[in-house]
Amino acid sequence: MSANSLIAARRRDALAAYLFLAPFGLIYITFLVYPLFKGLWISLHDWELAGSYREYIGFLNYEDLWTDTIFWKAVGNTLTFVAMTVPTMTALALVLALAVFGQGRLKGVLRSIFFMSSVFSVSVVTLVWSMVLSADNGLLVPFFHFIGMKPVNFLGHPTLAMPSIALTTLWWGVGLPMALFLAALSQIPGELYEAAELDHASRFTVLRRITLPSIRHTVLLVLVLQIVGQFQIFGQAHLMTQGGPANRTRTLVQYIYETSFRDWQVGYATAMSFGLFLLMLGFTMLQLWLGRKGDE
Amino acid sequence: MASARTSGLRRVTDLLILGATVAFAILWLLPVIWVVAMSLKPNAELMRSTAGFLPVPFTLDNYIGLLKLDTVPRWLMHSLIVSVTMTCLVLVVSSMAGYAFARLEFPFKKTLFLLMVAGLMVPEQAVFIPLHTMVSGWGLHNTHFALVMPRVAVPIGVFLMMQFFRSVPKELEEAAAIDHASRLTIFLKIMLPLSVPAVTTLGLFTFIFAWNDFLWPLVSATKADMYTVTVGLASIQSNFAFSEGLGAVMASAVFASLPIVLLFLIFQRFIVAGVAMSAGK
Amino acid sequence: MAGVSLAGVSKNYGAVNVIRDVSLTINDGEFVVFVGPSGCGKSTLLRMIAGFEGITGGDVLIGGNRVNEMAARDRGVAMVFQNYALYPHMTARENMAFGLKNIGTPRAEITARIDKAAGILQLEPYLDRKPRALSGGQRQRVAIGRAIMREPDVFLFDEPLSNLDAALRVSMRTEIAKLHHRLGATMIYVTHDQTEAMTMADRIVVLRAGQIEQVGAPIELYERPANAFVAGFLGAPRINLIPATVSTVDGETVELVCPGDARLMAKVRVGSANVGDKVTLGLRPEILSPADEGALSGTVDVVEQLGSMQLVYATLADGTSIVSELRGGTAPAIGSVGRFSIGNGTRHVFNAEKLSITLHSGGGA
Repeated sequence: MSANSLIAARRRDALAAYLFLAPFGLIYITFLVYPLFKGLWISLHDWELAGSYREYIGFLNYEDLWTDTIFWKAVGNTLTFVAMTVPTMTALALVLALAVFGQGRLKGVLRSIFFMSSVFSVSVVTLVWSMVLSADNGLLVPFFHFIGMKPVNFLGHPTLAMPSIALTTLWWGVGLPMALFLAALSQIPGELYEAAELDHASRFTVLRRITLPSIRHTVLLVLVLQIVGQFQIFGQAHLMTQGGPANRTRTLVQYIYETSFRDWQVGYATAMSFGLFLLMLGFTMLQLWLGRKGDE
Repeated sequence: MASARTSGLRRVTDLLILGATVAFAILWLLPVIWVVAMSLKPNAELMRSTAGFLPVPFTLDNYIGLLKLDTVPRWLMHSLIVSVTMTCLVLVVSSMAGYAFARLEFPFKKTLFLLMVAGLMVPEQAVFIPLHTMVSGWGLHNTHFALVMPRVAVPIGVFLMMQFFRSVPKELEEAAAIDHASRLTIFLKIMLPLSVPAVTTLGLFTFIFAWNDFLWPLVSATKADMYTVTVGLASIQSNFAFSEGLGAVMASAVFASLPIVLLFLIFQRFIVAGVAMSAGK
Repeated sequence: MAGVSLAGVSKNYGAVNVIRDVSLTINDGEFVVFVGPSGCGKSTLLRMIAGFEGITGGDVLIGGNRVNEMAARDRGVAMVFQNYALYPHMTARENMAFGLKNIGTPRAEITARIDKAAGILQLEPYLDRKPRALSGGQRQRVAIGRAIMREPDVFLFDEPLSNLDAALRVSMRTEIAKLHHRLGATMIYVTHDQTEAMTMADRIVVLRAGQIEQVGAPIELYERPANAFVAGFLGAPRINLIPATVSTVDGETVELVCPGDARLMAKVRVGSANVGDKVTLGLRPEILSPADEGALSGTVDVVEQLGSMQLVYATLADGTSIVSELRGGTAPAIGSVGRFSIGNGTRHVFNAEKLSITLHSGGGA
């Protein structure tokens, strides 16, 4: 019952706060902050994965990036992949959300089906789709035989390989954006639809004038999340095509991985990863900015 | 009766859309059904043809063979250990930090919060190489510790918990303060019991993330007997000659997905709620 | 048991003063109601007494001890919150026991006190239910029960009845009044509802914009409001405030000219009014009634039938709205010009600063 127990309480609170933050803080600093700066340091070196060869070379790694044709090829492939997946994924997610939104057991089951493919791991997804698209014993082989064609080797085909990976990604990833859209749809007050009904609005008019404007923030959010997410594509390409044929599907993260863990050029790979980081940072900033705008 | 006709028309369109969606959903499931069917067929049959969505002739040999193998059950065990540990640690660490940010006043709160939020912008690809070097230096690759620890401090987890704690009426804590409850008592006896829905959601997402984590386990767990099931399956894909043990490979995939699919089917509600929650922030 | 004193208490958030120089002494065992419109600072003041809001200036004393720097839990107060603030995952019993458990009270003692509190509040059948399974009134009683448990010196109530429906509000009002009578503890009660204030309080504190407008027993405030604000805040329907000009002054008697050239007499303190002063005449609806003959005339807008009486709303020549009570008889037709007579009762007069200059029989301010 000390006279200034309030000050004591405040001091106790601050102490409690630091204790509550300590576990997170220590792990955060050790496994995120420190590696980030260590990465900067490594990227200024010629640094080998194993052994102790490391030589300070300044910004040479970053300069080398400009003339590395495979790097630019990988950037191009990644951008192509993003351009293929993001719009289709967003559109498909929206269409599916509209189709499965609402009451009823059947719609619940449908929602689960479209969402379920997102809980599989990348290696299961690629296994399934490598099989589906296989020219030897794939799911489509009987179909090709039926129309009298030689089965197409999708993953070995120079122009079809990347779209095949995109299709796989679409199947794998549509659940999350669909759920985001479903959440947004459920936020639209039912009275709005009832009023539109009384105003003789057609189904299309309702979609265009009420539904879509009400969820526009979510559309933006999904687009940005998708861009950031799809930029990081690695597993699908790494496991389905190994970057082939002829580097057609070699993506940025995959190239970083290979440079570091196959070619052992850790310094150079780290420099690349910082390039990717900066690129994604731009998009993440955009996302946070949009998120804040959505709050208003 | 024009109005009767329009509402009749509407009904028909509704049914058509629903029908098309159902058809699409079946198409969506076909690859999964096909893979499950293959996992239940004898290899000899698969050598002949992989066609057909029904497991005829039926056999459990692929699964029995799998269980006799040393690899897949071991990978599954690693995945379980890693995912459960990671989930528990994330929950503990995130709820504590989230509570501090939501309800306590302390010097440098804003700065520390910004430092944490900044972490949201760092993709794992930006740090996985230096992290690998670091863990190498400690000689800790191919351990559960290395698989778990880099994934424990997740800013989004703190963010979610903070959002949740903020939604708890402040009066509850004031009532508890009058009731002579210490900060720890308030956190343990009032806030944590109330946050069961948020904790469940965050836990599920962490578990699924941990189970499916690929890039980091791929570079950290390099010995086959330390693989997680996700990395293990990836290794099967690149090493196995598919035609040899196709049924076994498919069975491994099904086996590896079973825990996560079950978890999903049981806790769907929380997962969907979680998506809504993270969208709401 | 303890009284509460506020000595020049103030609070600002930056440049905004939410509480300005409030001084007040609440006696041991008194039931005091803080009342005022939303944003007047009444809840803030209560929370400053509780220890949830810091004090920028002045002193808060509980039982004679300065508690400015004391944490809420050490002040010997209990609080009943507007939204009840029951711990949702605990049963009613656990909610009530929580505080005593935290200070290590023996189990038997806790049980005894729960039984006692449950008896007082008729909570026995609900003790093992969680708040979710209780009705609004039951939750309210559990919240009060929790407050009773630690036998505090001072009870603080923050708009405890505002989430209940009208009927329940009335019955809980009586229950709290009974509880006060039974426990004899000091109670401070915040509300924006003037009926609650009038019916429950030993003394009412009317607050506006962070300042005390007037303190006194309910009837005193009703009959002798210090200013037009207090007069307007207490009493339903609201007092009629009619702009007027002083035309003659004869000692304590003045003649006022009201809209529509109505002339009527009122008594003011000697020397407080001069000819030509703009004043406000305050007439409670109960002394104003529609009649064939009357000083005021206005166009009838609405008639509300309340059963025991009718409320007749009208507009005076200058646009001022008035309301009068009609007990028995036929109300004038809507749209017609009616006359309103002024019966026995105080004719309040407020000067240009809206302060009362009314001369009350028996003297005083």
